[in-house]
Amino acid sequence: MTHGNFDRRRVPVSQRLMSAEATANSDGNLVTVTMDGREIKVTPGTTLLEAAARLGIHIPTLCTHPDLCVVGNCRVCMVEVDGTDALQAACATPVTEPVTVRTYSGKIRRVRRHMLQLLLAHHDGECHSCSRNGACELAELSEAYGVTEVGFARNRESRVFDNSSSLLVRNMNKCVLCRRCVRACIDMQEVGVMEAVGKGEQIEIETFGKKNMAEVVCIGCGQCISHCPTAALVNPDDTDKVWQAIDNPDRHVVLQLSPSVRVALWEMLGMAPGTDDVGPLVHMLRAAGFNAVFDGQQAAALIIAEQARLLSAIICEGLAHPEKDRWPVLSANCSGWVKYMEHFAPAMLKHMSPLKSPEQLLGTLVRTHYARHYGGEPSAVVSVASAPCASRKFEAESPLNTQFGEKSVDYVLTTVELGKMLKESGIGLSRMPAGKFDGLICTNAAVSFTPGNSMVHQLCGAVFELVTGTPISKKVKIEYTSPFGISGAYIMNVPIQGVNDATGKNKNGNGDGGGQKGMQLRFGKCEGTANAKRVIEDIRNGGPFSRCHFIEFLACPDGCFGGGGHPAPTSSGIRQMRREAFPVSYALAEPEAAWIGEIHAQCQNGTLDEMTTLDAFYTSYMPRGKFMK
Amino acid sequence: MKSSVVSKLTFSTIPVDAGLHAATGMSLEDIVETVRESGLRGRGGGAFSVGRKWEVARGVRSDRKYVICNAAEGEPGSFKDRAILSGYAPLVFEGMTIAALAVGATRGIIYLRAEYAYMLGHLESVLAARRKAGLLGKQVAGNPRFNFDIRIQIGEGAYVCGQETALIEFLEGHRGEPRNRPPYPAVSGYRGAPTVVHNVETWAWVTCVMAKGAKWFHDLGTPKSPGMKLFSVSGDCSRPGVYEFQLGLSVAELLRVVGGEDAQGVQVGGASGRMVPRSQFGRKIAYEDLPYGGAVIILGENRDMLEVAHNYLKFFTSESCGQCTPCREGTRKLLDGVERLRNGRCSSAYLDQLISLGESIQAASKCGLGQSSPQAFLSIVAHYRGKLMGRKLVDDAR
Repeated sequence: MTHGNFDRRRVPVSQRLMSAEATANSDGNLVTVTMDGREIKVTPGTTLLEAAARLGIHIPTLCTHPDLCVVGNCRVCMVEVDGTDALQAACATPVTEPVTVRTYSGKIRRVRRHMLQLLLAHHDGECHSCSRNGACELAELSEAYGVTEVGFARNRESRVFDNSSSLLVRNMNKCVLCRRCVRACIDMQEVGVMEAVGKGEQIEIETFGKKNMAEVVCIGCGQCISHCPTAALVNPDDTDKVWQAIDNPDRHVVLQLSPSVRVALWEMLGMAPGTDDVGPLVHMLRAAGFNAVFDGQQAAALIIAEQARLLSAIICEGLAHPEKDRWPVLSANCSGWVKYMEHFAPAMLKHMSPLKSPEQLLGTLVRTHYARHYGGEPSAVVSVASAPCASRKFEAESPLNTQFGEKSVDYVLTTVELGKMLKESGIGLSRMPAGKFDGLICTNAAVSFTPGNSMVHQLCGAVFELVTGTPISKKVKIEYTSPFGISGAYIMNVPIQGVNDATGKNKNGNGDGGGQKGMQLRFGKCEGTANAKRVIEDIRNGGPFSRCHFIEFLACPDGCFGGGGHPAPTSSGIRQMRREAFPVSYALAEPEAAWIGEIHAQCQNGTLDEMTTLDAFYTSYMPRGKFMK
Repeated sequence: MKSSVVSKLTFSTIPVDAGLHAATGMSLEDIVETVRESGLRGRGGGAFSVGRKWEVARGVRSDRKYVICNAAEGEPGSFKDRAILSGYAPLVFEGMTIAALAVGATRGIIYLRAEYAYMLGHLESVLAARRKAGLLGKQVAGNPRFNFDIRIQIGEGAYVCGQETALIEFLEGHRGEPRNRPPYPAVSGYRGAPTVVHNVETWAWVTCVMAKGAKWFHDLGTPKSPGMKLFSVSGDCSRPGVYEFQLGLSVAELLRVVGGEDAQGVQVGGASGRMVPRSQFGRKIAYEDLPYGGAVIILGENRDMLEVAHNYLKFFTSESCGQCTPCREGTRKLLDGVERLRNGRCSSAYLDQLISLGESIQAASKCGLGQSSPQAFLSIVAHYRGKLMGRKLVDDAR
């Protein structure tokens, strides 16, 4: 017996070593599993659940989640294994020797129903008025496995309800103690806000010191929400506030549709993950009552333009004077990541890019330029942003993000909330004509952006062009390295043939700016805060990431496509489908690139209008530390 | 407990360090073989073959291995480990040292339940004396390649930490909750290293086996349950205390010795054990008949069996670690059922449903604690059902 295969107990998918899969398949000693009379050969350490999946046998599960480490505590997936009296949890039983297994029998049916009934007795089953109505895993299991009554006395105690935070609402009366949230927070994200506290009938999922959510180091990534099987953890719901604004004829309600939301929103409307059909969506949103719908990507493009300008100046200086090489600039477009840094690495905030997040920048432009030029009363504009997670709600409320005393973004709606609004508006999907995004700056020009691969790739293209004077092409061989051997954190090494100059004004200080071999632009990318923790450590220790010029951080595994504000369920497969709905490109296509360049230049030289200058692009951060209140 | 009883234990007849002395004269394989031949099985309740556990731990290649002494003794009604630790601690440490030598461990840990913290000074002084005598520390017993020492870690009061994997989780600084198995601790235990965990009593018997030989031990008891065992006897009897018996004695014999012949039932194995009614007093206390951890609780003629069941279930609802559904929620439902019975509000059909639930708890719980938690309830309901259902109601006014 080797115990290498068993060490998955606390290793979530995002941090599994890339090579683990390869070694599992290279092992020649296979073990035979006989399941319901069918045989399959598997590598030692494969769980019974995995073996069943490969045979196409469905075993119901609740606490198990493909993103999270195995705990085996709900006991719904029990199977009979020859040679043992007790049933075994399929999710937590690795195969070490040939076994014969039955996945259905009278005993299994009885036990399964009992487990579901016991969970229901502990669960506040107000199903018809529940925000997860129709998407509750406990309800699905109960329906599928013959539970028609709770059967036992319900637990009577009342448990924690906490809506103190704009990031997360906890209703522990609906908690079934599967601990997916604990594993998502501690093991997957390594933030560590929640843990099981107490034992026996007193056990509950609690924050450190049983504080309110508003007083703990929650970063609002929402992974606990999208991994929760019930409605014990949900996003705060601001839909009524937005409806109120829409219902008021004196208000002009504008919505910015962020790229990941526009994909995941279809899942709320019953479509498969990975649908991207933006035309009808924009039309539906207008029909639901939004007066204008903006493409959130134009803000991202503006930020990239400004970020590229800043970076190329630093890079050119650094290339000419290596001794002056700076620390890497860390991205700040993910609000969950920003809050993570404010809590966990406040001393490193000086390396954060000073630029706002796309939502906040677009909100600012709405407040300043759009409000004065759309043709109505500036104070009537209500700025609504859609977002893949509730951390944007926190960001919108931050006093650091106000413009002339007003919030840049009035309300933030997660994908789930926006989907609910669309559903409630009763607009049918069939024969929906294609609508177009509104143009932010020139009110008559509709602009729709080709989605870019990710910020770091687009930025890389923009910086390359500014630094070398030529656009990036397929001929430039970008080398990807992964210092920790995991897919969630990598470095792009981009060879450059010399520095043209940064801004078009030829500095040419020492005369040998061009033609040097071995010069590189180094861009890092990191998804998931557990990986970010290692990257920060690596930067502090002077490792490979410390030599990057820029690192993009996103708090969630698979970035915004894995945001906690998207509808559950989530899995790496679903996130991949969402991601693949976007075509890959390194740079914006014309004419958007020219358009963005023009707006950027106008903001820079103040010709757009007197209120909308580059100042609108900048923000600051607040060192919060781990001890609040 | 009565000192006169304690002094008759086999442990008092074992010469100082005879076990370790015998072990150092053997090859390491022979030590494991001796323990295996003796047929000694875990005395904490799990009853796994001690020799087999050592063999597995010995077979795993690792630069770190551990031996752990489980002094959690959380089972209600069990107090024999306390007697051993206060009277025969050197035997326990010696047993751990022998195992460490055999499997190649360098560290020993004693998990001492919080309630036994008062013994810490005594145990530390015994350890110090052994270090001084060269029986712990570097080059133990003059063996230049054998380094081994023992530390004590005090528990925090959770019953479930008596379960070996929960105990290991606790020692590692986590919530004391049972792990999924496999891997078993002998393969991957404390900090992922091979770990041999035994109850206090098991460690003491290891020393006896090494001192007096495998055959001596194997010839006692029954063929399937060789050797002797300590019994913590309490309840309605005239001579409660710690006793030593050969396994295989009948419940009736035990009752005669301790003066509890009038019992209406005997709870064999503490809260996690089962109720044996008078009609079954001829049954043998042995692994093949009535498996047994350490506690015998005698219930006299006037005891209300419903209150007994209530008491045990109350214990489990608060001492379940809360991790898995059947143990956490199921025991609450059983307790609720007992309360309904008490109030005359439990139909026979609902009682049947609870019995079925009890069987599900046994089948589906993650660890031995959960699997045995409904046992007392199920056996009481099975043997005293008529009495429980036809019971005079508690005064409603109360």
